Amino acid sequence: MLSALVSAAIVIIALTLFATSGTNLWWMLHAWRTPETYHETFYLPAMGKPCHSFSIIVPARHESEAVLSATVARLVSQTHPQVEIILAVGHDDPSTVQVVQKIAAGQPGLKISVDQSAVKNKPRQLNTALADCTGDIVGVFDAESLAAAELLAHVDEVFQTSNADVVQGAVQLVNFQSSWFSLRNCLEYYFWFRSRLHLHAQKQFIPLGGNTVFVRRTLLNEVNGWDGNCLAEDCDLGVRLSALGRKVSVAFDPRLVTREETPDTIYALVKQRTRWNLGFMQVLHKGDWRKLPTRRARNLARFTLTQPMTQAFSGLVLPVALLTVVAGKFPMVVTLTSFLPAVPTIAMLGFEAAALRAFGRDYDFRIRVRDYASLVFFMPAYQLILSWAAVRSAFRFFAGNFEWEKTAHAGAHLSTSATADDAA
Amino acid sequence: MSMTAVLPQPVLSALRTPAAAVDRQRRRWPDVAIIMGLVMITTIVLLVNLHGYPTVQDDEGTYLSQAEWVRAHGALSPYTYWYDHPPFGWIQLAALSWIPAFHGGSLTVSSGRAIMLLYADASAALLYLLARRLDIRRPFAVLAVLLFVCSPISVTFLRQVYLDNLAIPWLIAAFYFACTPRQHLWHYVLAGVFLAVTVLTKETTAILVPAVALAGWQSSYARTRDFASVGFWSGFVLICLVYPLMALLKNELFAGPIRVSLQAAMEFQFVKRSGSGSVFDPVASAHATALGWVQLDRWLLILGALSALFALTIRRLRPIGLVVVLLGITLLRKGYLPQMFIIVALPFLALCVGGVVDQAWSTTRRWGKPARLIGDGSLLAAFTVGIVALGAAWQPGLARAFTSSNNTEHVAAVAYLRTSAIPRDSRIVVDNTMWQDVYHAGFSSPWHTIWYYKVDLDSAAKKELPDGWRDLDYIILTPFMRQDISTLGLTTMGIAVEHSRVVARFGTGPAAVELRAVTK
Repeated sequence: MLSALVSAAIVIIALTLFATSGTNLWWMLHAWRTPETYHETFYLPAMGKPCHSFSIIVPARHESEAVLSATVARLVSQTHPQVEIILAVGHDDPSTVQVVQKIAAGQPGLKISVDQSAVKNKPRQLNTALADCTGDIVGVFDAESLAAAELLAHVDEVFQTSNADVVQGAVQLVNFQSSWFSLRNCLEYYFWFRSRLHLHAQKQFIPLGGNTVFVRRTLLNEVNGWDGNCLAEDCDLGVRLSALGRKVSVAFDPRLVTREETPDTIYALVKQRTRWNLGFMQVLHKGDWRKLPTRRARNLARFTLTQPMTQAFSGLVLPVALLTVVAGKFPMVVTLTSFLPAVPTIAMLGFEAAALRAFGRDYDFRIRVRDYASLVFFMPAYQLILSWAAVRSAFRFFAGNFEWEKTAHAGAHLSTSATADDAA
Repeated sequence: MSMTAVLPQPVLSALRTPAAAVDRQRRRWPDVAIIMGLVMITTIVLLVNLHGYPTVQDDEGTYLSQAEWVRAHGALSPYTYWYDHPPFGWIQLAALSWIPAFHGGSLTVSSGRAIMLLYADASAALLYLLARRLDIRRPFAVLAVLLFVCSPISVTFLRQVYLDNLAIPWLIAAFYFACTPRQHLWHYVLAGVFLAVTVLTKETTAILVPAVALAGWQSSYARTRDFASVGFWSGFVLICLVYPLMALLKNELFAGPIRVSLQAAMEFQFVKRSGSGSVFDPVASAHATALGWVQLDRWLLILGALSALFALTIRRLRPIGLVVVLLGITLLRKGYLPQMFIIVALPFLALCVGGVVDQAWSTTRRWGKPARLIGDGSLLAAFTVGIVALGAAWQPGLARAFTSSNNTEHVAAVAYLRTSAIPRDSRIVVDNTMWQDVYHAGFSSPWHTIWYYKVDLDSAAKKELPDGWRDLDYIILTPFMRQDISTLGLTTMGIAVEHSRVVARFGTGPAAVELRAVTK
């Protein structure tokens, strides 16, 4: 009896893991599903005349002049004629204020927005800057990102042809050879912006990114801008706009992506990942996704927002489950079933290799044999890093629980147990 | 990778307008009707006299008894499973074991053939669909399927409970998905999965993997091809791995001194098993086997093989031609050549003929009027002559299939045993054509109803039959068993037969079956 129960539990766990990792894999491969989905992910050629004006916000904090002026230079030299640039800084960060004043001095089209609020974070700086925006479209660029010169012209075209309220452009980490984990980090971005986000746009639930994202200014004002208390204000904005049924377009072209760099140490990566995980959990907890119009979109939201956690934990559960099954005596069918989740996991490696090749072609990088080898070899170690970040963010989530209940968008209508369920 | 790569928007939207979808639906109707007709024809040519022809074979009983063991005992075989074949073929039989009940009959094996009807029907339907995917016009697609199911060679072999028959619908399905016109990633994954099921059903089909891979390669879209390939190969390899994984978990992957193993079985099947000689060597058993096929239907073999060579030169037909060529190479390699080797070739031989005729028709379409009339006329004439000649050539074989009663001796032996007074704790040696019938007549253990092969070759025989031939009480000696005892050198069985006398004889002449008592 007991062994039958254990067998049943193993089968259920195996099927659940198989279903989640299989679904995740399938969604990641969206762009390469058919020739039609492949082509739908691209920008259309920009043939029309620009007819929107842009306000680009560059939030900066503790940034050096070199980094910031490079970012600004790329924005100033856009081919699009109507662009204003707002450098958003905090009043408690005098060195960066000095830097932006120096940069703005040489450039007439540049504005400076100084946030005076007591607690500083990115969404608050963005909200302060939003008040100074005058363009039809508000875009956000991270301080350390390099935009392509024709980007805004193409984004304008997308706004015109697709009648979208939001356009998300692609961001790509490019320094794939600087460390063993940077390769996988770059590939994660590649899968996300090249493929997965397009599926989200199509299914009408999209966690927006915080960089190279463009929203109609009137709409941003309608929803009161960004959530000043959210760690993932970008994702949150996407969820809220999706819930309102607003149309989001995603477009990709390797020549138009905004280039960024991976975190330079493992610890920095873990910190970044912890922030994302926490942000996703916070958005899940806030519950705006419950207002999504269809059950399908709500399920996609639930799955996507919990995914960083489920994926990290299944990475831990799978080896443990397999060891248990091999060590114990179970019927052959049960044992074989327990290996089922390994199928999408191993297939994933193959698809990552294919994506690495496509990445190399898209960006004209020479991908060496050792890059493919490192992709396979370091998979478990990278998985461990993700699990570490997941455990870390789970701890923080529960430790910070009380604090959250005080905030305006904490979703106070949710019980604590629901929180635990959602987080798990 | 640039914006010039973007398909013009009107093309994309035209692909998905409802009108186009409706149109496609409408165009499907004739195909549905045709498939129903083909399935009906297949069912009729195979169902008529299914009990009587062909002679029941030992292997049929082997797979059916193993299927019974899967269903009733959750084990892979009544005897020690030694990785002779992957078990997924008879696991399918086990799942479908409710079908023979509708068919009746007094021999379990000939009733079990009813399951093969389902597979043949599926093969026929899928072959038609595959032909249509290869842009073969309807009449020629129908021609291919009719050549496949109506040839006397098919009417003989498709009836029998062979793993090859279980494998072909999966194989055709793998091709069907590998030739996806939508170039959908999921279809390539499915092609890989179906191919894995094919190989796990009958391992010898593994030589055809390159042909399916070629089909997938040709059909896939250049810019998503890497992903399609990964999908196909991970579907194939990861499902195939179930088999060695199973062996590994049972600690039977690698050979050991006292245990069965996948490794040892593979070595036997692919390295050690004695070859059947050259098909061109009149004294080799391969020659006799090939002669058997030729006597059943030389025309499908000759026309199919010639068409396959043509098919290699035509892009859309190349993977199908490659199947025939790969099988041809295997045939000439002088390895072990069982009778059922030809089964997997049959649908593809027929498809090559249909495809090449279609190609010839396409060619005459491009000619100017007078040339075209001559071309069409000669095609039509050749077609008519071909059909008439084929009908005449097939007539004796089909007549035999529909009327001959090859299994009366077996039926009589089983009927005798069911009512006989032989004590039910006797040990009785049989071949697998009767194994299940004898077992269910009351000799209810695998070591009371004993498959003759196992007396000498099962690792458990020493324990079960400590006194060797003296532990045996009766033998039902069939012509097949008599022949196998000498060719396989089954010494214990040979001695047992020598020390036995005839109790009852069923039938006369070389087909006679004898019930013999062992005299100790």
